[in-house]
Amino acid sequence: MNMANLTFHERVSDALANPAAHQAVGRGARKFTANRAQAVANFPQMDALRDRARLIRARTVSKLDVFLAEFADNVEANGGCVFWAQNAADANDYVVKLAGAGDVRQVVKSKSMVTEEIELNHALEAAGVQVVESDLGEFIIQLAGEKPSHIIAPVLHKTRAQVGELFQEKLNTPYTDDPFALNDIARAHLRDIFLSADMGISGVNFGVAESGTLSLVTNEGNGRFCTTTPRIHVALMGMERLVPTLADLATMLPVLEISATGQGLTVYNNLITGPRRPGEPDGPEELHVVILDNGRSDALATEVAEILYCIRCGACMNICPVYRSIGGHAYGSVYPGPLGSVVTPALMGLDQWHQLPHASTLCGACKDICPVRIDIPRLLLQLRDVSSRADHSPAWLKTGMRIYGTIAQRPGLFRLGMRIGSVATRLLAKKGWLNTLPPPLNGWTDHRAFHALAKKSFRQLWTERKTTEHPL
Amino acid sequence: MNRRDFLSNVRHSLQGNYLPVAQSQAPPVQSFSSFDPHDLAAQFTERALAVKSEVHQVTSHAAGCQRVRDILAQHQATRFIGWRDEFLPIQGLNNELAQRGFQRQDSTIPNEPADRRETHLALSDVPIGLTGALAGLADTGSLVVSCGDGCSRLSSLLPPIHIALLETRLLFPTIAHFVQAHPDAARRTSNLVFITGPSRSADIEQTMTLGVHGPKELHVILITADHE
Repeated sequence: MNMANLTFHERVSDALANPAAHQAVGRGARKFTANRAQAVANFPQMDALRDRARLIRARTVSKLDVFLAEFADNVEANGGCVFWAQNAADANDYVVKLAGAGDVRQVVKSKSMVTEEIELNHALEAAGVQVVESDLGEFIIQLAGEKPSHIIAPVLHKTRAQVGELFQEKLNTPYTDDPFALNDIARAHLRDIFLSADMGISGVNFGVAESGTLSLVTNEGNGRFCTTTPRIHVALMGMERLVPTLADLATMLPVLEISATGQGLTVYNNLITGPRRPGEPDGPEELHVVILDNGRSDALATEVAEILYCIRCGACMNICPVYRSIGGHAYGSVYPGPLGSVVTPALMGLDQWHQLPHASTLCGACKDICPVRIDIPRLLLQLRDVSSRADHSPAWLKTGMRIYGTIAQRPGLFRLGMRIGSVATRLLAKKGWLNTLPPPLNGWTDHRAFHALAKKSFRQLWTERKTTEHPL
Repeated sequence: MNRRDFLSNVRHSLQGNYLPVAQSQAPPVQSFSSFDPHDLAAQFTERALAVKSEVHQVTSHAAGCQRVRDILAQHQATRFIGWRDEFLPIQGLNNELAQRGFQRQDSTIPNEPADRRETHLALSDVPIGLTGALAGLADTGSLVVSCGDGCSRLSSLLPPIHIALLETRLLFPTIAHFVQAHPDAARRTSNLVFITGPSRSADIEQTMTLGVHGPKELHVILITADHE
């Protein structure tokens, strides 16, 4: 099914109607959150490091033009090439041309959300270049012809049995649902591709301005292979993904990695400074760094500019009650969860993505867990405000809010409404819970239950408390 | 798009002052209390074991050499790829291994595309990679490995088993301590890598599997010895 052609509400209904994926995502997200909490408990400096990390991100983004220039100068001084891509088409054209010039037939890729954002694989395949994803999760996604459902764990929505069936069908291997056997199948299959591909494509977790270094984080080692064995390495980087110094990187890496997976450090923190140097026994002959704007400079001139501090750890989606319930695909964007609900409309425009800022309860868990303390609820409210001014709200919502506004401005009417609500909900409730509401309100109770309104309203309790027990 | 226009767009957007914090100063330099690397061996070992590395503590170069031979023999390996002698902390180790029948295979990769591919494929069934290390990080059980002339990247990446020789005197408490002592570490090589355990994935139902693409086993020979 092509999720892109569905509306947001259709995608959500679809996700909620698929309990297997739904449960897998919830379970996975909870496990990530628990692993992170365990790691933080063992790492007392975490809170201070997060403060420091926020300062580093704030400084970097507030002088981004200066650091970008410094970074690019150093990449070039190290023997790398820098390409400035205004949008997805610029970036894709450049990589396709590189592939053509280098007679590249096969590309091996390390996981990169930026390449998902610009749909680089499509562009390369359209030019006749074979592209193979090498991160185990991305490899599975590619075989299945799907999109990632999580920025760190792309196949959070799939069960081991589904992966086994997929490998059986696409790789002609005997069926197994044993993750260890599946791991070995993928290792064997991808090994020859690593050793023979002409071009390796990676993302960039952080670029270090002072040295032109690319930092690339992977657990599997595919990030090292993609940047070592192929003759040409192309790295694509969102323009905000810089840190000024190596010392700043030493702060950011543990903060990112503990937040993402609960590991003190991810297995491979790979620092790449230029292509292979004279005398070095291995490494790529060419290094190209594509610096991508694609809406980022526009976002920087809006009320949600703070989202550019984001380091893409995924902690906010793991803890989000909405993400845990609907999974990543329902958001329809390559960036799901609270981060995605801000960054997607910020980069790609509210016109197409105005529902996403509403996919939040504003509970604030994302803000509490964010390693660089981005005030995501504030940004979501900003986007809701802009969206309602741009008249994106549906008619029923506008009418409903107008009726509510009329009632809320008249205390007598409001009290009457509350009393009716209290009586009505208690009549409909079973043991204090509303499990089903009559149409047209049944949509509210399809996937959740509500408490009946209390017998006595807060105002009643407050008045009683003031006049009898505790006179002020 | 050219660089000037790209950066001028960024500059123009920044002039709107939409960021919550106007932060132009670098955060204060972190101050670290001094430490003795030898006190860090126990923590390094504990954390390295926790990330599924194997740690072999030895107190002499001869014992270190013996451990390397044991691991090679256990895996019925007759050849390995690895770093040149002058970059390993045990003097003459490669010669010593050669005399015992373990052959170090050259892993220099040629430039020409077809030769490059052929050399990679020829090395693909070498069972063991042997390297030194620039440093170790105690709080995460990590190795810091710097590549360069005589120190190939593939030695710690391609074979299913990686043996790393690390001297206790090169231990640091954290990555931040290491960077403070080696502020040029990234600049000095095309590839610096922090390795924390063997390769792993948890992509399939968050079950941890080892050796997805990189080594399945990581042996750290931790050497505490006077210079011989």
